[in-house]
Amino acid sequence: MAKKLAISGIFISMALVLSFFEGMIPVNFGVPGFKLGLANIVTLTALFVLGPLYAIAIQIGRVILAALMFGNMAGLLYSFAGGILSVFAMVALFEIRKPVFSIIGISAAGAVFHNIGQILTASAVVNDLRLAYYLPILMLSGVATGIFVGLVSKYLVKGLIRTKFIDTKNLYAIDRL
Amino acid sequence: MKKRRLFNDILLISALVIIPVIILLVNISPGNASSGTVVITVDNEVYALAPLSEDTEITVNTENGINHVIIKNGEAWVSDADCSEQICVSHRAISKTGEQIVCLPHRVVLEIISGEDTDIDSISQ
Repeated sequence: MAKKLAISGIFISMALVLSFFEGMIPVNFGVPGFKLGLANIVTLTALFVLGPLYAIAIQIGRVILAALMFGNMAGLLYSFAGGILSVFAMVALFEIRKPVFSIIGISAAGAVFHNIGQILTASAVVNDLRLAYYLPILMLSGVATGIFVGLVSKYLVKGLIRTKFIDTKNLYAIDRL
Repeated sequence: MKKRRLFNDILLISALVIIPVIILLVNISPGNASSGTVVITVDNEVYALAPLSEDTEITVNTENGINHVIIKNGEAWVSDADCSEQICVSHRAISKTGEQIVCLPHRVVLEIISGEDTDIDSISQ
């Protein structure tokens, strides 16, 4: 328990570093709102290594801290809605009793739901549903980055298992990669 | 089990790709391309409001002269005017929010409100 909490703290700080690092990459491929979603690597890894509750807690902590440190309060609302919807979608897919989806599918779904959450919140705030016209493009880019993030997370989890830094006896889902 | 999961993944990802593509195709289909409104003001007073989605022609009668406005295919332009400068006639058609055609001699202004945004603002980034 204590070790898991300590690892959660490390994960949040890693996610913050990734958020910051991502902000320095100037690519957007002509799609405003496009993000690589590097921080999701940490959430996914936490989901597979620590379990759903820790993943949700890490996501909430990460979103709030990232908004306080690098963003503005208006951005907090969007990233919070996106982050929460995303992590719950991933947990739902992860929790299906038989391991139906691998980490890559879960990651893609998480990225898409992140975009859905953000766009819906933005539409509600601006009170203009026409923003949602933009959603399909963001969903497509989300699938692409989601697969990439899923692959990275897959090898990260495998590497973490090999380091023995994480207690594999209690590992949440070692056989589900 | 692993193969089964790979298959499920491919299924899930194709669904995530196909759904937005369908939405895109539906949206691109003609008919709902334009959604703005043209506001025609004469001497700072609203003369007429017309949606871009309906093809119409409006003749603006002012104290100083006449401007003939055409709205077609989601765009609005001034087809002819009896003003001296003819700048409004040579202006290209407008369709995006905030775009204007101005006829100074007649004090006529055409402006698009709540149409397609020209740019993404900082909030949506």
